[in-house]
Amino acid sequence: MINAILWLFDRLAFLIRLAGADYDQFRTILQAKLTLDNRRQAIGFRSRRGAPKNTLIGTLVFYALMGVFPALVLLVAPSPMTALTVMFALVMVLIGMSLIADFTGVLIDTTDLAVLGPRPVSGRTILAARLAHICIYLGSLALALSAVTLVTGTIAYHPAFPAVFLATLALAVTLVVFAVNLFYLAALRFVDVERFKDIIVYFQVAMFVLVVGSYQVLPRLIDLRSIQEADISGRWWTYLVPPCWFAAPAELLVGGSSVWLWMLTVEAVVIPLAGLFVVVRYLAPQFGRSLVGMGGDAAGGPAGPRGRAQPLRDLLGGWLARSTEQRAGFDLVWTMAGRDRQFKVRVYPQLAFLFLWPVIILMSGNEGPAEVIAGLGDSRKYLFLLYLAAFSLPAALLQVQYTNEFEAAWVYYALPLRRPGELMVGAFKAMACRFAVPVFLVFALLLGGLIGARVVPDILLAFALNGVVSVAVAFVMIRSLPFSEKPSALQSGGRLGRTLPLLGLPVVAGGLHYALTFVPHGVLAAILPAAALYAVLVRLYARVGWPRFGLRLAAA
Amino acid sequence: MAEQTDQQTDTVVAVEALHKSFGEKQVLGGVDLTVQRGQVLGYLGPNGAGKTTTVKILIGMLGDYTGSVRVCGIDVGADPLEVKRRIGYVPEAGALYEALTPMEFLQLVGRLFDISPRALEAKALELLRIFGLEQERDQRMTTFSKGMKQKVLIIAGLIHNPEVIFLDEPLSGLDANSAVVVKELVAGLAAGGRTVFYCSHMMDIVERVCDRIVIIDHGRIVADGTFESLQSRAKGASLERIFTQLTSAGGHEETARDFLQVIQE
Repeated sequence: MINAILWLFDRLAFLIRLAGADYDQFRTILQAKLTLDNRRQAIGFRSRRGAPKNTLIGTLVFYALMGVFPALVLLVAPSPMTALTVMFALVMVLIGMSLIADFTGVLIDTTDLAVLGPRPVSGRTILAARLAHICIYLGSLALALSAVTLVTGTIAYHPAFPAVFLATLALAVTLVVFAVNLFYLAALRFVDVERFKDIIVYFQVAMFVLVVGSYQVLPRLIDLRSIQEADISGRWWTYLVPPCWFAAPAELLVGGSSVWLWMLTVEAVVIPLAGLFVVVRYLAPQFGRSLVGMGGDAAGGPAGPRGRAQPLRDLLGGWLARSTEQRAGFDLVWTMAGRDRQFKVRVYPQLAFLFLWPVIILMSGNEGPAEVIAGLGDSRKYLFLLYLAAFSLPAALLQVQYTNEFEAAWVYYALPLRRPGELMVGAFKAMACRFAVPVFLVFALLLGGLIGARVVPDILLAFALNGVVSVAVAFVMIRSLPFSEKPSALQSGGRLGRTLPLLGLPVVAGGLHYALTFVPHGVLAAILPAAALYAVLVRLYARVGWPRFGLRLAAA
Repeated sequence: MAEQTDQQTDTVVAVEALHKSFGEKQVLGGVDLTVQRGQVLGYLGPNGAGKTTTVKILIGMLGDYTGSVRVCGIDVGADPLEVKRRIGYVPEAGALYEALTPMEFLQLVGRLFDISPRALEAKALELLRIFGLEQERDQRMTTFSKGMKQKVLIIAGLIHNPEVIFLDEPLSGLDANSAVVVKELVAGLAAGGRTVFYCSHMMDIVERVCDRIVIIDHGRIVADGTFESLQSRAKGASLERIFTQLTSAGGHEETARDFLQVIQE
């Protein structure tokens, strides 16, 4: 596998040299990085024999399924131009999303600085190797997404379609990578490092919401019929919309020919390559220098006067986390969640995502937003809003395990800690208070205002069930103590695929709740049992002993 | 040692008026330093005095400083890559890719220095054998002890036969036997015309290994000379005594007593 990838890069060596990187060094670094990824995976699974590519394959399968929809569009649309514009829009959006959410860590990785920093390697070469490393993974995602399209396109259009399509696909991925990079590099150049680290967190969140939001909302605005009738040929704005560029070569292949199509094709080839050239040639030298400053501690600087006293934490912690172990877990996770930037980058997007759902609900169906709000009480659609917290909290909880300073976890093993489960419950409560409860309250208040007092039993039951679902997921999925594992590119790369099954539990809980609304007083009667179930689960979770975390003790 | 400085006077490291700040905080406030070929320079200073920062600037890992820094006659700010080609660096508590094997790691580093693969393989194998890591050469370093990793880092820092060697606490984690080997190695390198820049907190080792001692405190050099010359200034005290005199307000016994009192409360 690694050899095949390197063989491919050997063919492209001239391009990398052209960009000003040293190809032999580039190849050496890339080879090391791919080897590391391979092994990290095996370590993650804690078994040498198991299939080492599992998470990546899971993600790829997921993306391949996502690719079915645009492949179908391709069968109904009149021309490759329209169909492939949709296809490339999807590919570019998903790749961009994956790049921002999962690969920022790889791009601004500072761990290999210690190894490469003192050696005679230029910033350009390091950047080129990092980009290539990212492109390899994004490329495989893009390939998975378009696998079905490749087949349908070949049948519907032309035997030579795969060749043209793959070439444009590569160009499209290149463009996405460089658009995102251009921003990062430019920002690193103009903003000082400490501020950049803060900004990037919020920017990632915003981008993620934008990207996911547009993917959720846009298909609802354009229905299939309008795609069938759509004719975008010759429109001026197509010159500004990248997916249109990449669709043009296929249209040429099936016999289309016009100045417009040729212009778009030229754009599709020239702009990504020019972008690549500009970034590596002109912005990269700054890159290495800026990175040196980024290697510092995660929090950076003193906690400040505000960091010292945390009245809210102490109030909630004192109230919710009664045992000392629980309190320790609570305080640790609460404080780290507010300070560790890497942690914020991983968690905030998941939470921001929540606020998109109401928009999607309002926009679904044929009614206008005003009618949807008016009919909210009767439709029972509002129940959905109450289970949003359960969708996001488990995903955010999973991230509590990871930190770049994972070595610090030795303290757990040095302490006379009897029940690590207590610590985990504290961590769980901190995450719930910090992230899930506020979100839940926002939606609960919103619904209370819109529907009135009769929604209160629903809110109470949903609150209890949210708790049940979240504890259950934490119980099953979290295998490490807080902040004790190193986040790796591949683990986070497969995040989307791995957390997907978790979405099932809130659906079950919500479905149960929905069913109960048809039973007279069903909701009211279920509140206490649900709360009791939550209490029991928390007790059980608190009793989890060392054997569960002992694997790491043995390894350390 | 005195003869050597007489016959070999070419300057390998030349630092003039070096200032470096991280944001508001000034770390180096005007460092002037010249090191001659063949010298073993002990670079001492309390925690946070600016030792590592100086070294990182000298090896081209940190930019944005003011002042002039030349290593092997090359301006570090202008051509850090050429400087990196000629120097070797063994970092303190250095990071390495633990999922790689020692051989793979050395091959990675060696190739970045453009050593031919065959020569590299032979050299790496031989050096690992000398350090007693022959059996472990194809095992991942995740399970290595601190000392084993330190050996790999030392090999990685020296495998390209650099002209100037920067060692930051190179003996950390090494057992007594290996430590003796490294000390001999330092002396041998200097005898062969290499220059060694040795950062450490271990006074007794610095006293024995280095032929010149520079002490830095609060970003400035507060002492510079042979151990003997420092000793004569401080009326025959040990290096440890000299160091504490120069870099603190004293009162170590009270500090220790206060500490004990608090934990016993």
